[in-house]
Amino acid sequence: MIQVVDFHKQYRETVAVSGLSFDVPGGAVLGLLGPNGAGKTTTLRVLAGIIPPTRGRLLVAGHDVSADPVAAKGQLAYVPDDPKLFDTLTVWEHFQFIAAAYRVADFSAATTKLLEQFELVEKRDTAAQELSRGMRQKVAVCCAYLHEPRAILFDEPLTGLDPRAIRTLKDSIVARSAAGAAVIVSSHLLSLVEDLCSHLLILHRGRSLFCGPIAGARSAFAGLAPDASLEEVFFRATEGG
Amino acid sequence: MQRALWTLMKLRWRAAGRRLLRQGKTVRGVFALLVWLGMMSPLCCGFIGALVQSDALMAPARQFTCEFAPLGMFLMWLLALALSAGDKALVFSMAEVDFLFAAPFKRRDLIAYKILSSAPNVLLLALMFSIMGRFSYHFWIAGFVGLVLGIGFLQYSLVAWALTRQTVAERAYNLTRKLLLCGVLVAVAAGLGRALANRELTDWRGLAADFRESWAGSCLLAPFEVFSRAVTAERMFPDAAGWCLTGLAIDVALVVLVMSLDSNYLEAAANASRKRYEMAERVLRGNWSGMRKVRVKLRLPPPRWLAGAGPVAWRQTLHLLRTSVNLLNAALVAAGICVVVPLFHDTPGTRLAVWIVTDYLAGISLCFACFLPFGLRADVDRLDAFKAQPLPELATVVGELVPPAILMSLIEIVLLSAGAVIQAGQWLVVPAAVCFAPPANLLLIACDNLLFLLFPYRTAMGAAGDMQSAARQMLLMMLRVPVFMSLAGAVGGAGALAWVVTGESWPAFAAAAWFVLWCEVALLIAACTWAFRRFDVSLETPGE
Repeated sequence: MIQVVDFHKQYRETVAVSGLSFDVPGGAVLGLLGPNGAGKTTTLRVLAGIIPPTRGRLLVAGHDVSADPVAAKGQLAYVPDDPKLFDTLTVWEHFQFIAAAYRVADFSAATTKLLEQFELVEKRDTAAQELSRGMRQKVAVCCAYLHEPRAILFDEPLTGLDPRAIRTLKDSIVARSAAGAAVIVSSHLLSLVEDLCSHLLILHRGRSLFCGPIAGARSAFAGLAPDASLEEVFFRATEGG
Repeated sequence: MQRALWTLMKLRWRAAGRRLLRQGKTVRGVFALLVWLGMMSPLCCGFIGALVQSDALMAPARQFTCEFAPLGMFLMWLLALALSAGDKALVFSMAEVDFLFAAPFKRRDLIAYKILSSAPNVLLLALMFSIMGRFSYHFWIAGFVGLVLGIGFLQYSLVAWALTRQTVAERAYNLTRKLLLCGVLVAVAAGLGRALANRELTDWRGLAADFRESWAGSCLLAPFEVFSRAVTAERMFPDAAGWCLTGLAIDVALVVLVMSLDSNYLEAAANASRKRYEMAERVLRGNWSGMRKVRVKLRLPPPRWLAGAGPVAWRQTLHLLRTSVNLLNAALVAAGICVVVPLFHDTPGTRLAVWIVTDYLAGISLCFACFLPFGLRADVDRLDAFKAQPLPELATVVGELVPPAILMSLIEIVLLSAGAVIQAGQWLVVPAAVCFAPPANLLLIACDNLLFLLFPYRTAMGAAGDMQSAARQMLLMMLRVPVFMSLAGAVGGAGALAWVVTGESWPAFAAAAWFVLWCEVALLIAACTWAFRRFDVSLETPGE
């Protein structure tokens, strides 16, 4: 569903990502790990078609993000780490807008269900600028789900969420994945990745250190016990410790 | 004040200087600095003018300053008091709130830091005013010192007022404020009543003089008289020196009062700072009113597709409708100012022409397009969201630019029609406005957005020493004028050509101008689409 081949991204003199290749099939959840500045957000933003790649092919549901961006974006949803909503629009109007932009014919029922799922029913007619950080995050997640995307990208999705919302979001990710969507979750919360992800990609200074099923990560690095935690895997990969 | 706060101030000033120096090392920085200096040069004209002019020529300006400086200062103070500026006097930056409020500093230390850290701004402001208004007083140094002390008085009195607010209960404060304001208003009414008994309403200069001489006026203006006399003193000794020393004594007394109050202002200051920050954020994001509450009752029917432009235009229209209260107010104020200018012209025809030109060019369109963030410029922080949507770039650009153009056009059509009736009763202005206002506004907004996409910047005040940011904004302002003039010139030129070719036919003039105007709009929208496509949000989104 998501295919990245020899992807490079350079910001002037700084190489953000270099020679990255990976696949995320439908139904898989890929955990994107790496220290600050590893290139995680850059990778997600390029996949979302927000910034252009310097080199490489990035495909979403068979559509090239650079060559056919409208078709690729139509199959994709991206939830940034700090979603910027439209201040003066109400929560409901955000759904109206997203439904129109992604051409969702009858969005009312789906929206109502999402609002109930994420406990936003009372905020339906509230302007976005009056919402708390967590509420804004929930609205962004609901907007991402509205058009039933085949690929979903999350950048630090738990920021600002309360325990109930965290559980709801985790359940929803599992459900979307079970329904055939390819999901990428970028996070520093290793427990989240351990709970949710079937696959793992560890990035360090723009390069891939490991990419594959999460179960194989322990055997990929020498000296790790078979029951080593993801934290140990992460530090071994990034620091060699 | 604790040493750490001195260190912080020193570091911040040093950082401002460093930024200035760093900017001076690049060609772009030097160019920006030169442009900034060039833009500042008109301010110095007053100073240079005062050096070469004779005293006799400057006498009227000096007389005017003597008469109105105390009154002007008093009105500023009264306005600040009426708007409860007490809170604003305690505003810190959000970084200061986060780092200093939680740190082991005494409240007095923080107030001292606040006063001292604003000192360079007070000095700069006084320097600027003293240079600009050099022809208004006798000695530059007296003017400068008097202005420093006067601005300081305004600042310290408001801080003192804000701290007083914290020491008394909210109800008592409100009651005291209302009583004080009522007392001031009664005194003003008494002073003006006496003046009005002797003079005509139109004799505003005489009225001001009478008010100043009345007992109420004397009492109210007493502290402000000190600073204005320091500024306008005719002799350095003893006049200027004496008044400056008196002003200094008043300021010192106020600072002592501020320090001795030592009320627990931290919560109020944190709230005021946060409110100010949030309001500024909202304004920069295109909510010009800065209001926290949005009038969500204003609704629109669901968006149509319209080749992808529909949803974007729908969102933009809703946003505009909900934030246009201040836009409408600004339009009315601009129109009001522009009505005054033509009154100095004799014939109704000339008056109408002057009214249209001032209203359209100076009053509304140009100012709105330049100063208020419309379209993509207002959505600078959401360009990544737009780029992530499955919409063609052309649709996004059209959807962003068309609604503000329509809103501005509606305002202008109403104002121009009303103006035509009031000024000369010429109804031809109405169809002309209907035909030309939409493309003209679309042209202005597209041009402004194109410049923004090519030279991205954020509509915000630069930090101290951020000469490059100020220069860049001024440069873009300057750049717009020749661009707008060229575009208007092409439209006028095409119209003139058609007028000549068709044997002085005005309909042909209008038709040709209208056609060229729309061609320019199409070209600019295509250019905006290209610029939006190449805009890399990771590299070009300006920093906050």
